[in-house]
Amino acid sequence: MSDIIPIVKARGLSKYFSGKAALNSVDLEILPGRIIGLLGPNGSGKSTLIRHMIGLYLPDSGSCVTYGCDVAKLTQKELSRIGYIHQEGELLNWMTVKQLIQYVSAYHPEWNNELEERYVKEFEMDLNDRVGALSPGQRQKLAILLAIGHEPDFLILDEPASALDPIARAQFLDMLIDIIQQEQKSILISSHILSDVEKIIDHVIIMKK
Amino acid sequence: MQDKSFDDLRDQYMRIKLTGLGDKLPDSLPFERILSSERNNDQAVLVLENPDIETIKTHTESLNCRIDITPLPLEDIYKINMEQQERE
Repeated sequence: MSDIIPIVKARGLSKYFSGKAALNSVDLEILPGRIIGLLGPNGSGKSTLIRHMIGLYLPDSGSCVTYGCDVAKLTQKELSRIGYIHQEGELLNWMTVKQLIQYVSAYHPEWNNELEERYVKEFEMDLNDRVGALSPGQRQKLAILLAIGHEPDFLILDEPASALDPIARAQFLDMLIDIIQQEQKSILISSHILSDVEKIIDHVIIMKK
Repeated sequence: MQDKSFDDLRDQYMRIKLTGLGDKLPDSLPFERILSSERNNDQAVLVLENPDIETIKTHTESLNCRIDITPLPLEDIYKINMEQQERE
């Protein structure tokens, strides 16, 4: 076994919904520095596994530990090391971009204003735009900014490009490659678009149904 | 669940295209662990699992054909994995 401390370590992790196993005794280690593609058919438990990693779900049996802490007991200390973009991409539509950034950054004492300004410029965002009026591509850029503004070590992207058209997807991918090169993060990306994923990953987890 | 480096996963599979340099390709090709095969008299495209490059080169010389080797895209590797998992 490696001496490197995993970001996430799951042992015998099982989760049931209505008596049916969504995860069945999963063993997994996510080591720092990796760009991991999490693959599997619909219903294989990719999103369920991700939600365990950040404490949104708790195991029915087995364990899941993130940054050395049981996911049932995660605190701001561990959670602030994680950036999470989920597939629904829900944002507060009635706010302006500026208001939403201020709202999210208020939760993170370590928020990096310079990083925020850099990406607002790079993503060509208008801070006065209403979030609900943004294109899917712009929404996803905003979601990325909100997920990395507090400088997490570990970025989780759950189907981040599924709502985007091919052009926006290509831009999103370029942006992700830039972030990987500039920010040196560990990344877990779940996606159905394998031709995109293979351009960035160095590790693969394939889940079965 | 499979948990592997992408390089290891990519090395596990290979697509080879054989093009006869004169004679027709023989009916039976001497490669092992063929996952899929499409062919006519002059050309064959095979997907091999855990290929040994040296053995492939030796076979290619004996068959008097040109060989083009390409890695499989992730999408094809994923499909093979899913099919294997279904069979298990």
